Amino acid sequence: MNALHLTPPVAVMAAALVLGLSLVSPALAQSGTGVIAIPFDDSGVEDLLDAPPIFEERFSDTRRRAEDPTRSAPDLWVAPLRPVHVSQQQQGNLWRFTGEHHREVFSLHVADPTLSDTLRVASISTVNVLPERSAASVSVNGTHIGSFELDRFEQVAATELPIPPGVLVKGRNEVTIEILQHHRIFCGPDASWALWTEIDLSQSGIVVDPAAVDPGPEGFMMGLAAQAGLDSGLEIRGTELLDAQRSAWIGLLTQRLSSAIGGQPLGYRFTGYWSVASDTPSRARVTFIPGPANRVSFRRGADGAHVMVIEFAEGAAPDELPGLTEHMAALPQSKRPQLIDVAREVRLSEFGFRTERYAQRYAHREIAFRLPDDWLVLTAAKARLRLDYIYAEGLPPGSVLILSINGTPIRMLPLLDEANSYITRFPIDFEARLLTAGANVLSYEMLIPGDPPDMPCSSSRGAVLEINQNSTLNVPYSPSMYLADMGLAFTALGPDSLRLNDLSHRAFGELDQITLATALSRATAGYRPGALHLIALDDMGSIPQGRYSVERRLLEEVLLMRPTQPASGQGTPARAAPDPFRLVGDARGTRAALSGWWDWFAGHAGDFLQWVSPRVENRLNTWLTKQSGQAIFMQLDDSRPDHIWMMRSPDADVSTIAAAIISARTFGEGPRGQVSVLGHDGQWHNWMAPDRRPVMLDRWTFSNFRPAMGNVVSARPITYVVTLFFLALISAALALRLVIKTREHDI
Amino acid sequence: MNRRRFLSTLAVLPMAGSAGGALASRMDSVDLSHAADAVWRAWKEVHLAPDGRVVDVFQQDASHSEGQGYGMLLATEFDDAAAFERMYEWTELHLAQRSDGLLSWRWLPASPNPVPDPNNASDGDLFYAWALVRAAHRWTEARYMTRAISLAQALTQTCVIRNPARPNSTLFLPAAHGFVHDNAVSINPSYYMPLAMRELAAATGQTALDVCAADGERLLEEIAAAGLVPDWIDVSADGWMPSQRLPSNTGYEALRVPLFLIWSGQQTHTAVRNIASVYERVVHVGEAVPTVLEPGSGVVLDTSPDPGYRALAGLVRCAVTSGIGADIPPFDAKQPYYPATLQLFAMIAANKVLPECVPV
Repeated sequence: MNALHLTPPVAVMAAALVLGLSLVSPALAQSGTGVIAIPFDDSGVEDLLDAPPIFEERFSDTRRRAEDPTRSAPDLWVAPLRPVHVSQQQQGNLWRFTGEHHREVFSLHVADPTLSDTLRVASISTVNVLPERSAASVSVNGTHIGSFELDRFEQVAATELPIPPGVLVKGRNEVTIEILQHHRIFCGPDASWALWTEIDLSQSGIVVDPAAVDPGPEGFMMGLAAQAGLDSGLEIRGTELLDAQRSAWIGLLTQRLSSAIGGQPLGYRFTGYWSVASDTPSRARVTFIPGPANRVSFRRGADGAHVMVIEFAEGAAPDELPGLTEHMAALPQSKRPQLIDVAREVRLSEFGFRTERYAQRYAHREIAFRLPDDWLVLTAAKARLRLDYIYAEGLPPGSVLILSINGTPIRMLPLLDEANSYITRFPIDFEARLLTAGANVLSYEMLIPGDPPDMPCSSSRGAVLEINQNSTLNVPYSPSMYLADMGLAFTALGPDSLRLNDLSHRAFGELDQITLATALSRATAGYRPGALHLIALDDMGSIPQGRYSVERRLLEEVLLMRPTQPASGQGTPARAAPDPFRLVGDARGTRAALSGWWDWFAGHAGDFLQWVSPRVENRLNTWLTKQSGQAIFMQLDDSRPDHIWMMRSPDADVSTIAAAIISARTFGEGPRGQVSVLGHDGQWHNWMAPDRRPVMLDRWTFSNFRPAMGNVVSARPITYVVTLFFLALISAALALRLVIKTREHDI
Repeated sequence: MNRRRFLSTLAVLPMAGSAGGALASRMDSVDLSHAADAVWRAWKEVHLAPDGRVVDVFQQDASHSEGQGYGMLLATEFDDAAAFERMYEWTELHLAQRSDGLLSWRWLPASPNPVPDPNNASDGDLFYAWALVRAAHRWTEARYMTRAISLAQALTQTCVIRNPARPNSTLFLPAAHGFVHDNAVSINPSYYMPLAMRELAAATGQTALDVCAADGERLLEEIAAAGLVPDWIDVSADGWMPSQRLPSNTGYEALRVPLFLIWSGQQTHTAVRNIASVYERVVHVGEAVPTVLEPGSGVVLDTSPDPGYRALAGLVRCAVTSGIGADIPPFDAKQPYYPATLQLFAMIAANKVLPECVPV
């Protein structure tokens, strides 16, 4: 506090006033501590009992009691369903089930199985859904608890399903929702794509009385799942007292919570102890408090939130914290895809696929697996998928099964002729170079046209296709090689990989960094982590460009320019206005035509030269002009294969970027090559330099020479062909010259 | 003015009450003007009118000298000189209508005569004067101190009287008029705010307030020996007894007794321990908090869901148990003026005296 300085006149006046008043006091009473002024009587004062009503208000024992009808006891809240993995099917709290058949598994954290005996599912469907033949089937921990018709079209409405005794367990439960829906007018793949039902996860789960939930780790997880469905994020209190250990504590905590709760990345709020209540009461919170030792306990906050109280000893590192790991076990879905063997037939069941049967008109399925990080095949070597499948007879013409590797179709199988008999070990060979080191995706897509397409699908048809888990995949051997690609470094990123410079904070705030670090804590590779440099837009100069030369302007435009959305109107598109410059160009006559031919020739010649000996910076810049996205990941410097440089759009939500990172690390199809743009659609758009040279990581031996040399040559085949061609030409010329020379006669 | 004594009192009082054990050494008081600025802004937005009037919406939009004093004290804690000045000006203009300088206790905006009762409320005067002292100190404003001195003198002359049961002891009258009867004096125990009295005495030289604070603490010990502290008591030559004239349950008035004791560093006071044991038994998360109790039995007669009352309970329990953190909810500005303000007081008391009692 500031010192008080009374001006001398004021001080004198105050002292005089004190003295004067004390002299005229009605009475003086001596006490041990000083002189006390005490009035002896209260004459002329009306007694309270005689006071008029308005004065009695002051003494009413209910005067302080404020009756506000808008205030009420805390509501019951929903312990919600929680997705176990990141998916584009989720938008906010809504999870979209698409197509005729869709099945998803959710987590339901329950502190006490006796809290509720009903499961609420809140849903809404498109009006295209034919309710009489569309239903949701719900199972809890493998036990079917009921189904309901999909007849909510106007607003989200809840259905209550009774849960049989003994089905719910304390802790994490698995809730499976299987949607079967049919189009009310059409049939076929197009009709299937027009079908959807959304489940409001925040309103689906079990309804609990918060007062009945005892504090504990299960209660905290239940509250955390509910908190994750709120916009306010998880409040973490008291971190300012952690001092130098703050980052380590926050990192440990957020990573544990993230891997235990699964799904979309959690949002966080760092607050002091004295905070203002949000509109929606908190369901869960973490509070750091200094204590004699590192310790975790759980209790209910005064606002009803389930609170994880972390006591920390001053200066103690968080790894000395007992109790957190066992309470916050990671979900298995947070792991990387299964690593498979090469050069042998591997059953699909070995990497998690189970036999699936389809009765719908359209189905799409992706199966992720992982190849060794030093696997590389650039040659024409074949990988082989041996498919075990069966399909029904009488499928309409055009029924097909399309198989793809990493998004590239490798075979279209007509579902005709050999119906109703299991086709086993059907060989499907494909270019092994479609596969990459690390995560890969094998997918298939089934399309059965409507029969007829302009009527609702027949209800009598049963299963139309079954894909057996005994199908195999045989990936050819590869020598241990590496082709410059950020995929390996992306896989190697971990929560400690973030690298900041002095300007990083301009684009990545603390919460952004935490969100990214948390995302990188899932599906970690388990070996030496790479580095992810967070770069501000105005700091592009710090990105090493190796032998590339990327135009900064183009990079900025990728992140700052958002493609305009096409007009949503359904009318006839407006006719484009005539371009006067083009008309002038067209009218320049013969000379212009010659000029045009020259331009054409020069352009194609340039393309040919690029093909023979690519100048990659041109290609990269050209590619960038067509990109727009939320973030750019770059690895242009071959000499630092474990480093990635990242920039973000100022408008991008880091949580969305983090979700894309989690998804890519869990299911593949992430950033590859030298530059990767995370598009606004959540897809990764990769640019791979065409002149990359494979690097042999093993010793050259007689056994690996052929495949390794094959990779080396295949990396730049045209260069080698042209070089050899010219060598052959020169050799031929020399030989010709030699022949002519030796046959010349001296005159 | 004994400035040196004032400063030393400010420095020592919170420390004297710090009995939080080992944790207290690990947690220090913080500057709430930074750490809880959002809380103050939320309180102001709902309860403070632009002209400086603290509005009690649920009491006919009335303003009280108590509310003005409370608000001004909060402004000093949150280093808000502008808000303080607005409240001060409004109060001087509308409530300072008595010749003795004390404030009329209530202002009714819808009434033809907005101040129908000129009587004062000594707790309002006490907090008003205390806020002025703190403001004078914080912002170096001598006129605040001048006004505080006149108020302290008037309070001492009109509201500090001899205890009829113990001639060497004093009582703090609730107002200048109406509480001294033929055979007894009506006293509101929650009007005792020992810290305020002591700091005001130290700053203004009105030592009677210092004595009155000590006498009040002893009186509260006597009352607490019999159970919970009632809203009103009568003191006669035979001693004290629950008031025969005014409400004598442990209600909305008496809720402040443990708060003010803790704030004054008296967290081991019997009155605090008594109510803490009741709270321990009847306060549960998700359920309304008791606000009116039968003093002898502790039977709950009324409850409220307002977080401010829960904050009081959380503070009291934390003060007694010396546990880790307190069950104090986040501040909710939508609650009525009275619990909202008490919640901010609980925050200040915890921060000053029991910094380990932070909300979990």
